[in-house]
Amino acid sequence: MLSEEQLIEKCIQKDRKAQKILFERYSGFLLGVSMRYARNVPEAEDILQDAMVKIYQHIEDYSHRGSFTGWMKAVVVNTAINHFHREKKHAWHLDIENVNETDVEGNLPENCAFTREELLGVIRSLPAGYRLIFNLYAIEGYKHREIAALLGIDVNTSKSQYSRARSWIRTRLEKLARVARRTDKP
Amino acid sequence: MNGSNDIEKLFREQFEGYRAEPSPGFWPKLSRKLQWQEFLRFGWDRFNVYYAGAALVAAGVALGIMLTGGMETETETTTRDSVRINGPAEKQETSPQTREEPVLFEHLPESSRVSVQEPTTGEWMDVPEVTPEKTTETPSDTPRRQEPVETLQEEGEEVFDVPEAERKDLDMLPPVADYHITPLHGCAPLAVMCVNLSQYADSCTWYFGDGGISHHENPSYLFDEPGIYPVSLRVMNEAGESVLARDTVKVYPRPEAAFEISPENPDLPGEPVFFYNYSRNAASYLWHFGDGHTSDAFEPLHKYDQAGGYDILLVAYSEAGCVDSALVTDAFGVSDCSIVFPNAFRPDPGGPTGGYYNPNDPSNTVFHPVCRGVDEYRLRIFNRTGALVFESDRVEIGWDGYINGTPARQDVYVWKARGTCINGKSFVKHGNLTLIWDRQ
Repeated sequence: MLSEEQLIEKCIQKDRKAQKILFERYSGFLLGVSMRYARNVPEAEDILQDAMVKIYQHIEDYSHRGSFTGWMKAVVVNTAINHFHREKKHAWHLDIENVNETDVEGNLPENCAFTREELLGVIRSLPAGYRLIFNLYAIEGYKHREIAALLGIDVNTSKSQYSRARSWIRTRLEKLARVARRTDKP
Repeated sequence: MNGSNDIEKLFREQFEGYRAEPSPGFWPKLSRKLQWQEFLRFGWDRFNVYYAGAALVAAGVALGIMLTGGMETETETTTRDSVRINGPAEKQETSPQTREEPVLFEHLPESSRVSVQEPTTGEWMDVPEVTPEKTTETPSDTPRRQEPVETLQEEGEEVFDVPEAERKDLDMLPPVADYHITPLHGCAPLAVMCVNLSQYADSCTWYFGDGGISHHENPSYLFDEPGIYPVSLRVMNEAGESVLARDTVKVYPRPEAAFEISPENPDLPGEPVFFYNYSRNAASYLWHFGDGHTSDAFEPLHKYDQAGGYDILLVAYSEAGCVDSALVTDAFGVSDCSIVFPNAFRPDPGGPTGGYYNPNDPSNTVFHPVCRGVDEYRLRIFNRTGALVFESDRVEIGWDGYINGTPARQDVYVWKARGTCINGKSFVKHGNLTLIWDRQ
């Protein structure tokens, strides 16, 4: 069992076997990240593939400050952002039926355990731009300022898009909870 | 704001350690892409597009020279005298020598230096072409043309004052690669020990033929995929390098033993049991049925003399002698779970019995399931109006056909049973039953 250090060292030497070990060890975690940014599994795998190529090519740039997984995750996130820029055309598209929804404040339904698949489904139902900002802000923990710089948009745009994404998600979760309550009753 | 925090927390918690498995074809695709990228990237130590380009150019140049060969020799002879002044003529003398015996350094230090520094072909060919122009056109030359002549002169200077220290390097013997690997063949995953027997080497690189490399002197290496792998060892010191690619390691595929038992819950003893063989890459088999009997058939049929749980082992051998086995523990034993209810019974007219029964008693006076491996259990029986007439949470106690001591009506009843098995599975079953009184 190679340690992380040895593995990185061997990957710098472009050892094919080490590359495979690295892939086997981390691809699950990294695909888990890219899944949140993609509409579906093939898209998530596309992002992961691009990110893995970058990781293998630039592994010597990893500075050993911060965790290695954190570094790889950042590569995946950046790749997802690039991917989004490429597909920007449809980024802010919204179904007409959802346009009038306003941000309803209020708590989430109580005692409602959502499964990860349900949450993933909700994330995937978001328009690409919302999905990106929600992921970056809510899960990755980037600041609006950083997101604005990453995406080349205004800070206020980031904030307003985030709030709309949140409202969208809340509506979806409430709908899910209603369905769950109905089906749970015998 | 509370609501939004909830959302963030919810998502963050769910996706913190989220892992998703990539599809099976993902790595081969990525691997191909990486190989292509590697090919495009420049590097001294491996074949890539630059080398491929250089080889093409060299081939082109060589071809060009071959075609125009006759013409060039003419110009060469006419300008030979002036060439001598610049020095490359010396080089021409030494060139054949260095090509024939590049590893002998005892004599003529200049030749060895030149050969080490400029191993590329084509450079030699260029020299005579360049120098005539130089002599005819005098100092105001194009920089591109001048360049090779300058480098040659530099080398010439270096050659004359080789310091003593460097002389030692030149006396150094070139390395001789040699190695020994054990074993040279075996079943996957195969671990091999490599022993480096090279002489005069400073550093070494092992290439294992499956993409793996090692810089250790005596590495042990694990081939985890079957195949034939050429192993080569490259050793270096300052006098040069030597590559030996002699042995190939054969890694045989390991068979995969797998089988299925049919039926899964046979009525033992008596009912014959058939074994489906799903093994792969195997040539012969040995079955251990767990009752002391064995068989070497591909798909045997076996009769057990006793009921009970058996450990069934299948050993599969490949032609190369690789082995794999598959084991099913406690087959037909209590870890299986089954529960079956009858649909009619005839209670004992003699009075309530309390519901205790003997499973092997064929009299059918108590309504009870035939079951195996049941842990928790709850049976309820309702009459046609939906009123509960009997309840039991013990498998050993069934319904004797009496309600509070009085005989129940001859009628159809509905039962519902739920519970869990020892193996953790849960079950819910329901059905109806007909209660029949003896009319004598």
